[in-house]
This record gives sequence, structure tokens and C-alpha cells, in this order.
Amino acid sequence: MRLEDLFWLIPLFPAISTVLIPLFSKYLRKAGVSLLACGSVFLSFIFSSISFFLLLNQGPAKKILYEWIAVSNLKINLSFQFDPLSAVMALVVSGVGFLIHVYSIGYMGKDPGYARYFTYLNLFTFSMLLLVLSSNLALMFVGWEGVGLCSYLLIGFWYHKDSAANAGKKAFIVNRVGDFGFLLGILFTFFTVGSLEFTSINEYIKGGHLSTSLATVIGLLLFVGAVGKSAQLPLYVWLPDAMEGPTPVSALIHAATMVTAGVYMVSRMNLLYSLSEIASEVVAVIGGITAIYSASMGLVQNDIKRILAYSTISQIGYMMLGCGSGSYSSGMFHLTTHAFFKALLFLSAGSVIHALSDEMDIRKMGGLRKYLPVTFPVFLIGALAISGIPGLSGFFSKDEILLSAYLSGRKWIWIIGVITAGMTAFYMFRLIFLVFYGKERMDEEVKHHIHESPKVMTIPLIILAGLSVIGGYIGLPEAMGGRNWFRSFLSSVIEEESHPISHSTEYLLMGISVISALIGIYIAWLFYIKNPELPEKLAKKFKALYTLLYRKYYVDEIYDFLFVKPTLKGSEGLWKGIDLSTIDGIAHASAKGANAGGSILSRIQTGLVKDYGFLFLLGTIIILGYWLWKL
Amino acid sequence: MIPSIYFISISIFIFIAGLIIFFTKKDLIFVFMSVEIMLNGINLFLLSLSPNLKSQILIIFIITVAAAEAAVGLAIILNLSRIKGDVEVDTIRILKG
Amino acid sequence: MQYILFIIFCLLTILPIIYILFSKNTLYSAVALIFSFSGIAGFYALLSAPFLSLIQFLVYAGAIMVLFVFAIMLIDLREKEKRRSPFSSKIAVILSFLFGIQILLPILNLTGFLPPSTSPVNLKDLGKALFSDYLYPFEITSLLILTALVAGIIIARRES
Repeated sequence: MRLEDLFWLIPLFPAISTVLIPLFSKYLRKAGVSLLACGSVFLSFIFSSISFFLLLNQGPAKKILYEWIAVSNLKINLSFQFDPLSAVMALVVSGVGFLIHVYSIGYMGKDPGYARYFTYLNLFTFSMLLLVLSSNLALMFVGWEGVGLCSYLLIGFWYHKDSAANAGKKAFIVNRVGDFGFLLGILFTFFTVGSLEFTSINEYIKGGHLSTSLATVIGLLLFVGAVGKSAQLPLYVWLPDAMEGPTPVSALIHAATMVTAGVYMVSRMNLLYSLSEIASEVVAVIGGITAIYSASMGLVQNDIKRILAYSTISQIGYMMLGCGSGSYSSGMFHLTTHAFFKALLFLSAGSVIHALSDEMDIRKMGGLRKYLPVTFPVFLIGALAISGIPGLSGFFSKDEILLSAYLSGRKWIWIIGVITAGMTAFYMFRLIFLVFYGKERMDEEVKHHIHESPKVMTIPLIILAGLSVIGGYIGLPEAMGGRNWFRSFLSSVIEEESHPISHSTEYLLMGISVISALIGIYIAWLFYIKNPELPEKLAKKFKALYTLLYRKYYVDEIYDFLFVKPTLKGSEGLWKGIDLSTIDGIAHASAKGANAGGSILSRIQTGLVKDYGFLFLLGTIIILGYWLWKL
Repeated sequence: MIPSIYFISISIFIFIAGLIIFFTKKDLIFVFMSVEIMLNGINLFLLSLSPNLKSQILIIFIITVAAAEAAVGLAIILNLSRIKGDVEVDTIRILKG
Repeated sequence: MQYILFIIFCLLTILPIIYILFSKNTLYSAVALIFSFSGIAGFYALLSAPFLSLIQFLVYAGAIMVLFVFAIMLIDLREKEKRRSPFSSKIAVILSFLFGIQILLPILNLTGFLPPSTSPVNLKDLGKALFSDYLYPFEITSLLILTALVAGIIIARRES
């Protein structure tokens, strides 16, 4: 069994089910749809796993399925490649995707759009797998756009709700802005390198043909796309609104997979980014600043999903920080562990929401510890993982990132990273304390119906919790006795400098970040368990700061003023001035002209036979004259 | 023998006269008469140009058809006069469009 | 001799037509037309087509014009409408003359003074041809006449 015969089937299964489900939705009951949808993703996961093992034995493979475009020197093929980097992504996407599909059977069980939901979800899985398995920038962009489309479709899944429809539009439009930069980057790449295949690009760079300035330009342009897709500053505004979609969607698309596509892209182009100091610096700085900026907004939000959304933006900032600091493997590592615990957190939040009859405001929760015996422990595990508590996966990955940030020489970013770690711990445990401990602040009606979620939802949670615990050990650093297997696995694709560092320094850095996390947890305990009145008093005292944070720095309002309103006004002006007056005017004028001409000509039809006879005579004279002339 | 050109010119004269009557008269009956005049002119024209068997037979048929047409046409004029009240050519504008 | 007959027939044909040109009376014009058609019958005789001339006299002068006279008498004349005619008839007249000249001129040069051609047509030959070579037109014409008969009756019927 050869790798290249097998791995290209991975995206095929969800593609087939995407087509089959809507075609046969009448005949398939819910059970059929569930089986088809989850089964196809499960098959993708099985094939990804088999391909992974084949990869270990046989090495990377490439498969060209179809010559799509061949116009003079532009050759774009439908071709896939399977190397360590795509293996990681394929396993994460199909594995976590499968768990979320299963969870959705329970969560979306009573929704009338059940089949539509799974169609979109499968379409998304297909596009994402296309993105990570493609061997050239063009096909990757196809997948890139595809996931953007599915994001729009799934955010606005409950389209009769205005807020959901608007959120979907916002996501797609902001994404478009990023995609514009991405496309320019692709164009630049083509014009310098001559090909869009990753292998060709890497050879070109290794051969020393690419100048630093060009690398900077391309890197920055491609990164614009990543900023849009992965919700970094300043194109992050769509992600909090995207919480209008169903919770499993938020888990899959906006936590585990789509938003990490930007990180994957940067890692895929690591030779490019390593070449350009400036581009890497931009990546790292934007990552770091986004991390702390977003965490600050997460401190005061009251919607359980929005807290997690800001947390996601912040964590992706971490990943970008790692990549920009030269350690792409740390970024990918955090991507993997984040996929586990963020999906876990979102799905458990979904479990809470489901239990409380769709309540999402944490001010109306409390004391759920005793009602949700499965959800509570797994949620706690997720929170501990994201806070970077030693022993759990998040600790190892976050630590790698902070280490590389420190080693890259930009100490100030490292400090930002540490502070953000503390803030992360704070807002996660604020969430835990307000939801699961303390006074029960639910409505009576809601309290009446509280129930733990069914097994189809809790079993994926348990699996994800397990992964959140043990997932970090694949990257166990040498300082703690491991061999960082993850980094060496990726080393054939990702070239990183290794900075030797003494173990003691490493222990020191680890300790600092752990202490930061513990301080965060302590403050949360102080605010919400010991002195529950404290947060309100602080909020009143620092009212301006609190409002600034609560209103998300008024960024949405600023964007509206700077971009949205002028665009709307401009298009309205264009519509009235050009479309209505000019184009419709031309149509009306030609109609009137035809009418006028017709009414003039119709005067010949007098109705008098005499006149018709006259014309007859006239014609005869002319024709006869012509003939006789000819003779 | 009378040269054919005389016959030919007479026939043309008859035809043109019929044409003129067609254009200048107000009453519909005159228009109808002009048609018959023109037909006769044509018949004479035909016979004077080639006085053989074929043309004679053709002329017989023309006369026959003219008779049938005259019958139907006059019936129509009769009907029209009953409906409209008069048969002024300039007032019959039913085909106007 | 023939010339005299020719001139008589000319006058017989042309004078009534000129009268019709200037007359406003339909009845008198119809009667004048009877004379005119008789003149044409004479022309046919001069052209050695005796059967044809008889047919012309009987059918045209005898039947069709009588029909005309009857129809004219039956037309009910009531009040007249106002008329507007945008087309002046003067141009038409000029054009008609033009047309006549246009037809005459080439023939003038072509034929010159050819006498009408030779063998007079036998009635026997005519009859034979009518019932053999021209049988189809003959029979169809009889159908045509039948149709015209029926049509004429139906159209001119008084609604009762």
C-alpha cells in the first residue's frame, strides 16, 4: 500500500457526503443523515491515521489528480501533498471534526435544519482538508475561500435571526479584506518564482534566488490574509459576532480549525518568513499585541461564548507569536493542543447552554456544579489546560512559545506573553467560578429543566478532555526528560534554528509563566468566591476603563464610521447616479425612441385602399424601371 | 391589317384610364369599376401582343374569375353601405394601423 | 374597312371611359361601361378571336355590368361623413401617366408595325384545348364560380 494511492482520498469522503445528503435528505431520516455525515469524517480520520503511519515508513508523497489550468507559464494543478505538516493538520481536522460531528447529533437534534447543518459542516470539512492537503498556493486558496463560505453559511445558520445573518455577512466581508492581501501575495509569488507549488517555492528560496525585500512583501501580503482568516488585529471583529452560530460550529470552525488556517499557512511558508526579518517581526508583534488586547476584552464579557471567542483570538495570537519568533513548530504545537482544549471548552459551554434552555449570560448562572456532573469536570480540565497549568497539554505548548519569544531577543513581547497568560487564567476561572460555583442566579423556569447532556454529547467531551491532558506529551521538552518528538517530526518540513539554552533558564521561565497563571486564578477566586462585591466596586471606581473594555474599545463603532458607512453611502450614490439615471435612462430612452419611430412610421397605414394602391404603383414603376434599364 | 401597335396603345390607354379613375374618384363603386376597366385593358394588351390559342384561353379564364370577383365584391359593398350608410372611399379606414 | 371598324370601336370604348372620368353619377357610369365593354368585344373580333368577343359581350357587358347596375340601385345612401385624405390624387395621376409611358416606350421600339399573327383560331381547336390541356383550370373555375355564388348570397343577405 503506497501513501500516494491512499492519502488523496481523505478529502473525498466529506465531499461525497456533502453532495449525497441534500440529494437524498427526503429518504434519509435523521439517523441516515447523522450516519452519512459522521461516517464520512470518520473515514477521513481513519485514512489520515493510516497515511500518518505510512508517512513514517515511506516518507512524504505528492499526487496530481488533474491538470486544472495550463495557460502559457501558468500551471495550476489539482494536486495534493502529504508531509508531516499536512499530516498534523489532517489528523486534527478530521479527528476533532469527527468528535464535533458526533456532538452535533445531540446538540442539533431538534433543529429543523438538521440535514442542512450537516451538509454545511461536511462541506466545511472538505474545504479545510483541501486547504491543508493542497500542494500549491492556488488550491490552498480554493480551500481558504471554501472555509470562508462555510463559515458564512454556518454563522448565519439561523438566518431568520437578523443578528445571525448580519454576523455571517460581517465575517465574510472582513475575511474578504484579508483575502485581497492573500491574493496579491499569490500574484507576487507567481511573478517571482514562476510556480505556486510549495516544493518549487521552497527550492527557489533554498537556491538563494529570492531577495529579502521580495520575501518581505510576499510574507506581509500573505499575512494580511492570515490576519483576516485567523482573526488577528485589526481584522478580528468578526469572530465575537460569529458566536451567533450554533455552538458546535463555534467549536469546530472558530476554535479548532478554520481560524488556525492562518497559522498553518505561515508554517507552510516558513522558509519565506525565516528569510525576512521584517515579516517575521510583524507576525510576532501582531500576534503578541492581539493576544493581550483580546484577553483584556475577555476579562469583562458576560456572554459565555464571547469570553471563549476572545480567548480564541488571544490564543491564536500566541501561535502567531511563536511562528514569528522563528519557532514554527511551537506555533503548530499550540495549534494542536488548543484545538483539543478549545473545542472541549466550547462544547462544554454548549452543554451548559443546552442544560439551561439556551441561556448564555453568565450572570444568570451559578452553582451548576451539582447539576452537571460530567460537564463540570471536563470544563475544569479545559480551563486548567488553557491556563497553562503544568501536567496538562496547554502548559507544554504555551511554554514552547514563550521560550521562543524570549530567545528571539524581543524581551518585551515575552513579558506581554506572560501577562496575557495571567489574564487568560483569570478570565477562564472567572468563568468557572461564576458558572459552576456560588449562588444560583438562574430563572426558576430554567432551573426546573436543568439536565445533564446525553451521552452522544458527553462522550466526545470526555475524549477531548483526555486529549487535553495527554496531548502535550508529544512535545515534551528535553528539559523535562522528553525529546520533543513533535518538533523533530516536523523538522523535515520546518527549518528552525535551535538555540541552546541551559535547563535552569528554561525552568526559570516555566516557573514565571506558571506563577503568572496561579496569580490569575487567585485573583479570580478573590473576586468571585471570597469577595463577590469586589468586582462591582472596582468597576464603579474605574468606570471609564471598565466601559472601554466592556464596549470592546469601541472598535466596532470606529470601523462602522470609517469604513461601513462611507461604503454604504458611496454605493447608494452610485446606484442612484449611475444605475438608475444612466443605465435605466438608456433603456427607457431606447424604448421611447422605438415607440416614437413606430408611431411616425405607422402613419403610412392610413387604412385607405387608395393609398395602398398608390404605394403599389410606385413600387411597380421603380421595379419595372430598373428591369427596363437593365435591358 | 391593323398594326398591333395600335391595339397595344389602346389597351395601355384603357389601363391607365382605369388607374386614374382608381385614384381620383370618391365613390367606392367607381373604384370597383376601375378594377374592371383595368382588367379589360390587360386582356386586350395580352391578346394584341400574342393572338394565339393560349392567350385566348387565358383571357376566358380571366373573364370568368373577374365575374366571380365582381359578384362577391359587390355583395361586400352592399353590406358595407348598409352598415356605414355611405360608400365614400376616404371614410373607409378599417385597415388603419 | 377594318380601319373604319377599328376607329368606331375605339370611340365606342374610349368615350364612355372619358365620361366616367368626369362623372359623379354611378348609374350613368355603369351604363357607359356597358358600351365600353362592347367596344372591347369588337377589338377582340378584329383580332380574329370571335368566340372570345362573344364571351366578352355576353359575360362582361351582359352579366357583370348588369350586376353592377343592380347593386348600384340597391345601395342605400344615407348621410355622408366628413372626409380627410392626406394623399393628394394629383401625384397619383402623374405617376399613372408615367407608368403608361414606361410600358409603352420599350414596346414602341420593339414591335414597330408588326401585323397580328396569322392563323385564326378555330372554335373546334379552342374547345378541344379547353377540355384536354386546360381541363383542371376549367373544373376549378367552375368550383370558383360556385363559391362566389354562395359567398355573394351570404354576404349580401339582410339580417332578419
